[in-house]
Parts: sequence; C-alpha cells; structure tokens
Amino acid sequence: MTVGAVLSGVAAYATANWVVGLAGGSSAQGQSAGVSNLTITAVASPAATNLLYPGGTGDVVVTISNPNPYPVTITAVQLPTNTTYATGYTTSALSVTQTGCVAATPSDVTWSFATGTSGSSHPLTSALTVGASGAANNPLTVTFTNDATMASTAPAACESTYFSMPSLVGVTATGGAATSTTSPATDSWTS
Amino acid sequence: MVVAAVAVGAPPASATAWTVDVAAGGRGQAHARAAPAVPGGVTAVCTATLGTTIKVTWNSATNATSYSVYASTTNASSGFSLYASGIAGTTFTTSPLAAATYWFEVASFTGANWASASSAATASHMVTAATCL
Repeated sequence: MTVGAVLSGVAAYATANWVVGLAGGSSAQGQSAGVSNLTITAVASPAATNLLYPGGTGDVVVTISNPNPYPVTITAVQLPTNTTYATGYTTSALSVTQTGCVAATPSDVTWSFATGTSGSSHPLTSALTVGASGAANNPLTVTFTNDATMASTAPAACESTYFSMPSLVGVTATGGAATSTTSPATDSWTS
Repeated sequence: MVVAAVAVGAPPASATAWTVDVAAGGRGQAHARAAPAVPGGVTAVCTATLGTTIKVTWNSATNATSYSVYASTTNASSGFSLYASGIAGTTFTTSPLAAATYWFEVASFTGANWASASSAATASHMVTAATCL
C-alpha cells in the first residue's frame, strides 16, 4: 500500500491510487490530510428538464463543493444499491415528506444503473472539474441527465413529488491543475 | 512506500488519484411529473347496426402510457366498472355485449398506479340480442 505523509506546512499525497475506507459518510479512513471530502447537495435550480414518471427516468440536480485549495476532477460516481430508495417531499425545499412516498414505502425511485452491490462505480460521460476553494465554478451545479429511475410500480402518492436521492457512496476524483467546468453543467452516467 | 509532498495551495501532481468520500447526505434532487391528464373527446359508436359490439375512441392524454375503459349499464353517472385496462392506443372495441344500454368512460394511466380521473361518460347505446343502436 502506498501511503501519503503529512509534513509541517505542506499537504502530502500518494503517487498511486488511494482506496479510501468509508465511515458512514464521515471523514474517510486513511485519507491524506491534504485531501478533504467533497460536499454534494441537492438543489432545485436549475429545474430538472426531464421529470420522473413510472417506468421512466428523470434528471438529478446537485451542487458539488470542493474545499481543497486545488481543482478536483470527478470521473465517476459510486452508487448505493438498487434497493436504496429516494424519499419524496412535498416541495423543492425538501422539508416536508410526502406521505406514502418515502424511502420505506418504497418510493421506487433509485439512481439509474445502480446494481445489487453498494459502491458500484459508474463513469461520467464527461469529467467534471470543480474549481479550487474560493475560485470560480465552486460550487459547481450539475444536472445529471436521466440518472434517476422510477419503477413502473411507483405509488400514486409520488405524483408531482420532489425527491431527495439516496446518498452517494463516493466519487472518484483526481486533484491537479485543470480547467474548471463552467457552472451550471450537464453530465450523466449511461451505464 | 512512496511519499511525496506539495505545498499547501498547490495541486497534487497530475498522477495522483484517489477515491474520496462525499460528506454525509451527499445527494441530489429529482422531480416527478403530475398525474396523467383526463382523456378528452371520448365517444362510442356501434361497430354495426346488426352487431353487438361498440367501439370507444378518445384523444391522447398528456403523460399517459396506457388507458382503461369503464362501462355502466345503470346510467351516465354511476354503475361504472372496469371493462378493459392496459390499452396502449386511443381506441377500443368491446367483445359482443349482452343486451343492455351501455355508457363508457375512459381514464389514463402512467405506470401501474398513477391514474387520471375518469372522463365524461359517452352517450348511451342500446344493445339487443342482435343489434346495436
């Protein structure tokens, strides 16, 4: 295993791939002090163009914040299982749950291409580069086209509902000089 | 072991790659359509005077992926029960009907559970043992 080291006043990194253990969404085990987690947040603007319906797919809108002092380029996402469901809310504020359309119902809304295995990795059609902390295009707003899926059995209670998608398991990212993606952006994974 | 260092504020070397966690609650927002619209333009006609089948037609409804036809032998406002479901198109012809007077309504569906309200009832048609009027 290759290990990064922290020196006084500097950030350390490894020259090989890091496989970082996950600890319930908290700071990752074995992570270099020079690498901070990205924050991914659900947002309502821009509004999704493709709306979910039973048997169909819809857009997912996020903002990605990068706290690191250098750009970070995301090339893939790791998804929860295909039985990890979104929770429905009555408005885009995602503050009041929609009765009869929550994760436990279930809502029948999942990430597209999720599998039975948690952490399945899905490459983005185009890499996304989030600017360094304080720089332009950070946070980066992204619409993932048709990357939410609603099963044909979705309950009627989910009509016109706003969904908070299940938490991502992780993302694959590379730090380094790169031109940041202009916000808002459109991207997707298609397999 | 390979160890390297970079000054704070400078990006790691381009060869550096890692899988980072996302902070708790990292997720996105999606939005669902409304229920399908109520079908309009619903009509029913006898397929032939000397026959006992009726053809029901309607206009395509926004967001509908299938339709259901309901029939009543009571009156235009009550007694409707499901006659056929899962109809992909906008026409439906009944099987030979028993003697009675019939009214029809149509509802649109998206998937298995998202349904519109039923349409207005069609005009009635009286079916006898061998005719449709």
